[in-house]
Amino acid sequence: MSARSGSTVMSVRSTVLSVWSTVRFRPRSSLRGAAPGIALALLLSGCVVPARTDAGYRTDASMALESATSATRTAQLALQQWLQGRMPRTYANIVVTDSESSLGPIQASFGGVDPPNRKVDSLRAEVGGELSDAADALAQGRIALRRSDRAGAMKAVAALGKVSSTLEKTGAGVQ
Amino acid sequence: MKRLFAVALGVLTAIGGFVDIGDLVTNAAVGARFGLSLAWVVVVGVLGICVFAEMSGRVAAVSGRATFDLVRERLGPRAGLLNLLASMAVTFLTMAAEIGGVALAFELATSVNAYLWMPVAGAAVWLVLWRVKFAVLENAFGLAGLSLVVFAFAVWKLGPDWGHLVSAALHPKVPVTEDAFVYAYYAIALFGAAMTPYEVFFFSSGGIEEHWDVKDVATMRANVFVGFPLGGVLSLAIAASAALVLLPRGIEVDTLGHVALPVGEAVGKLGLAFALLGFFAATFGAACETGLSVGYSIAQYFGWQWGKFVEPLRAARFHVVLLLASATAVAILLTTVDPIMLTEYSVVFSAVALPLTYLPILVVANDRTYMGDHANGVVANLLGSVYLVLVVLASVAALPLMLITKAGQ
Repeated sequence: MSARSGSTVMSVRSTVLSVWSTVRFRPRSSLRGAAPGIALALLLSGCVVPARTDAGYRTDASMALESATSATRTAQLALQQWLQGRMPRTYANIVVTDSESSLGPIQASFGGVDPPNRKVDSLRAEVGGELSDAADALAQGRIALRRSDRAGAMKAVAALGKVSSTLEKTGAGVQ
Repeated sequence: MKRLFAVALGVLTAIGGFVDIGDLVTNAAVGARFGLSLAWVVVVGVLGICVFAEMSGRVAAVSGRATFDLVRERLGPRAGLLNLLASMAVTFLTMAAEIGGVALAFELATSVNAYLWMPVAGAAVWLVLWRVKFAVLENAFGLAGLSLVVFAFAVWKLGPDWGHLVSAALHPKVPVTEDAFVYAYYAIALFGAAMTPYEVFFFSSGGIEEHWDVKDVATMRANVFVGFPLGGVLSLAIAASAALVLLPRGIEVDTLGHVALPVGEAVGKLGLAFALLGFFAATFGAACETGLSVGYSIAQYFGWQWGKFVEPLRAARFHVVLLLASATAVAILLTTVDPIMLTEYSVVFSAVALPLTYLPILVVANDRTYMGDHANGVVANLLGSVYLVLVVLASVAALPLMLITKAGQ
């Protein structure tokens, strides 16, 4: 190492070592200005923007279908694991019940958005019907599980599989 | 031999104690949605927490005072108060989420509604904070948390295409079905979960509880540089198991029950029992750590007697803070807020508060008045500076991304 590069290294080293040891804080009341921004951010993050266009409505439909598929596939997997003796009934019961509970807000949220025009009325009917079928299949699974009804649970697994496939197919065609 | 045992115990508890509700939920959610394409964030986050935990542990061992005991003295009361308010808000939110996580774990084990378990969990946390010795608390929950290794076992049992898995982790990209903003939002959430501020509060104050001195720096470094990365491996195992079982089925992670579904699929009931024990240990241990962190930081800022190494009567105000924090956390949960949603918000707000936590550590660790010859060297300062830039970027981007993506939808 040459003397010049050596002194450069030493200079960088001393800069790196000293920069944090010289930090001083100037007292300022910066929180006062930030508070309304944080409050607004919190408020806005919980808001839902209504659909104003076909594309926006289709996006809402697609998201509702995705979430519903997640719920039905979850319940199907939990019921299958219970039937195979891989999951205790207590655990499966909570998972299936949570899946069923999650569908209500999805239906309410999608059902509460007005279609922007008549062209997408048929999509509203189709998605609404499928969400309703999903709710029925989830209830079927929950009832079978709470009764420890293996035959009923097998039927529910089949129903959930069918409704999941339909939801996925519709979801793929929506966009 | 005694030294070796202390190192091994410290490393094992560091591994088991690394994962909390934020890591459990965020890693599973990310794995189910993005596969392993965000694994690099876990690596970056774990290295970051190692850098700052080592600094704060060294400060405690060398100066005999917790890092945040020095922040007010070094940076003045106003900067110290800003640091206290921002960090405490996030730590308290995390504490509520952890108590919620304990209740959710009990619900999965018993089928009794989680909201009925929440007051019980909160009372149990307070009782442990009041009565149980620090070393017992740290070691018992840290070791029990090791049962989360079942997630790594589940990944192995699922028999994945290892080449594909490693390739996905090493070649990160935004999945075609996802938006780049959503990808960035979850990257920040993962980063916030790995670098949660309370971990350094707890680590440095814990060093004082255990009477560390300069001789303990090597043991502390072993805990940090071996234990934390292995804890990070557990986080990656949770993400990988979700990527293998939940992602192909289009299952999104909305509840704690989702997180262990891959374990049930691969290992069965016994595996689920281990996973539930791990959930309980991780969330209960972290609830205690966050509760103590709230008490430590407030007491250290106001100059009160603090710590479990003294009798509760001699640290009465510290213990009153612990009681109030436990009760208020339960009160928040009983508003019927979803603990998982609380967790998701807490990790993002963690990212927002990161600079206010880590900048003072960097400053104090460089102060030779306290640190003498043990002040930061070039490597620690370079890494600290790079990470400070990263945490500032994450902090600035967190809230806009939350708004743009509607919290990752």
